[in-house]
Amino acid sequence: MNRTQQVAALLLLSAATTAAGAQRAVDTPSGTQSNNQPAGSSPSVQVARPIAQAAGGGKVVYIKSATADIRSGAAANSPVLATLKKGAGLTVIGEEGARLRVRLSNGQEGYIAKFNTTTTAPQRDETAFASNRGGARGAGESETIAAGRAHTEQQGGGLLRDDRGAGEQRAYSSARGLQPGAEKLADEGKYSQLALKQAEAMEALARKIDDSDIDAFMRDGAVTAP
Amino acid sequence: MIKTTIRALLAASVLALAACTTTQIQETVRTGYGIAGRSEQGDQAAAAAGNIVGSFTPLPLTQEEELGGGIALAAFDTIGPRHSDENIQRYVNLVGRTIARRASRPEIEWRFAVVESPSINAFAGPGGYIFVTTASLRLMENEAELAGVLAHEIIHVTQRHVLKTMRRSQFVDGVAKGAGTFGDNMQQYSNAVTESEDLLLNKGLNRDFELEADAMGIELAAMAGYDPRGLLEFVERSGRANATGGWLQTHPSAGDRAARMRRVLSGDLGTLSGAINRERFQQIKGRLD
Repeated sequence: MNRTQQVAALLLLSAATTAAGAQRAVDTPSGTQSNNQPAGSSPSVQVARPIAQAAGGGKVVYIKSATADIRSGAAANSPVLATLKKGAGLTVIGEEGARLRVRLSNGQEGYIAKFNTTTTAPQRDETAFASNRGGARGAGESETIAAGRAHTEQQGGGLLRDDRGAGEQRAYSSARGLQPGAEKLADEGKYSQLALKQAEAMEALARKIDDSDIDAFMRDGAVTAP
Repeated sequence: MIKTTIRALLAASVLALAACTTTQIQETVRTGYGIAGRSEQGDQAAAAAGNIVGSFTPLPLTQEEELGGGIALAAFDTIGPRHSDENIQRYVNLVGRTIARRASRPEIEWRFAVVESPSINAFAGPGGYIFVTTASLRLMENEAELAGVLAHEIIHVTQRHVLKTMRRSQFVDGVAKGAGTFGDNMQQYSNAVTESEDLLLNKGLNRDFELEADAMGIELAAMAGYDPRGLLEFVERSGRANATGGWLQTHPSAGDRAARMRRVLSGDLGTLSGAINRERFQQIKGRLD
């Protein structure tokens, strides 16, 4: 990197730091499987590193959805190279129809749907929410972190969700249910006991469905994220 | 070299400016839809015009779920019973969870229910409780349309539209700020559930929120792998259905919504195709009778 490029990289670093506020890029443990991964996707989860990519000189875009797949080809059913989290930065190196050709921080090149990217750097729009969760996340932490934590949940409910405050942690697949206030409304006669039973059935069915069911459902219906 | 440096400086300035502008916009929106009082002419106009004062503090998820659970009880008592066919319920949950994988706020635990009702309707309670009526399913032609409707409802939850529209008492604000929980005062909690129920089932949410849910819902359904035109097709058909009540009572007109959605689809989104799954949907639809 020559001096000019170094200056450019420093300036971009400064600007992006302003843009992202105190956002931290958090490394997801290697090999951790995303809880929200679609069928057939790679288990590797890339970390937001917009600055290093910006230094390369290409236009930088950021992931808009909670997670997004980078595919090896422009076709929707091309193999998944990596799954990125919301706010992750990518260097644009080309365009094919509705898809962008992008370079990842590890040098790999792939494709992502244009509509799933934005040129606006990630904001701390979840900060207030985060600070309301019993102090589980600091006020300076971003949604990227929140997403990362939730995605590290072990399939099958072995891990407790760590985005809840002390005293309100619940096992993902075993203790979910109607909150006590709602039950009390039925007990006090505001709503019927039949409605309570049906709400409990709604909760119970949601508990029965796990990631493998969703993966199979998507495969069966050829539902493939672009 | 000078040109390169200038380009870098410009890029840095643009990035910094963009960040600043976006932050200002977010604050404006939050304040504009924040919560304290409402005009006699209607909540929607007041909120849209930014007349409501105060600031919006999100509720902790467990407290959102308290409200959502209350909405579930209200839905089953007021709109209709939960459909007894577990295959239908499971199918709708699977479509919804497929979409929810791509939604923001991954901490939410999503639940979906089909409610027996002759009214074309779908609505969402805070915390991830989503309902769609049997009349809506009967009007749909394929899974992409269901996906579009569920994506619209998921956006209402992730964007906290109910919480931003409802009148917030001092008590609710206190819960939002961590000063207590709904369980501390059942009367106040009951009032909050009643207000949420009234918004969802009678008055409707802010018109801008509905249009936002359409635009973001289209994107979300597409991100999940469904044909992005599903919601538009369903809304257009519901507009032609000559029905009253339900969605038609609580949402902007089908014509307005369709026009806005067409604009969204005129961009890159419209070039995408995705799963439609007519046959799989029709098999489930056949179980309604």
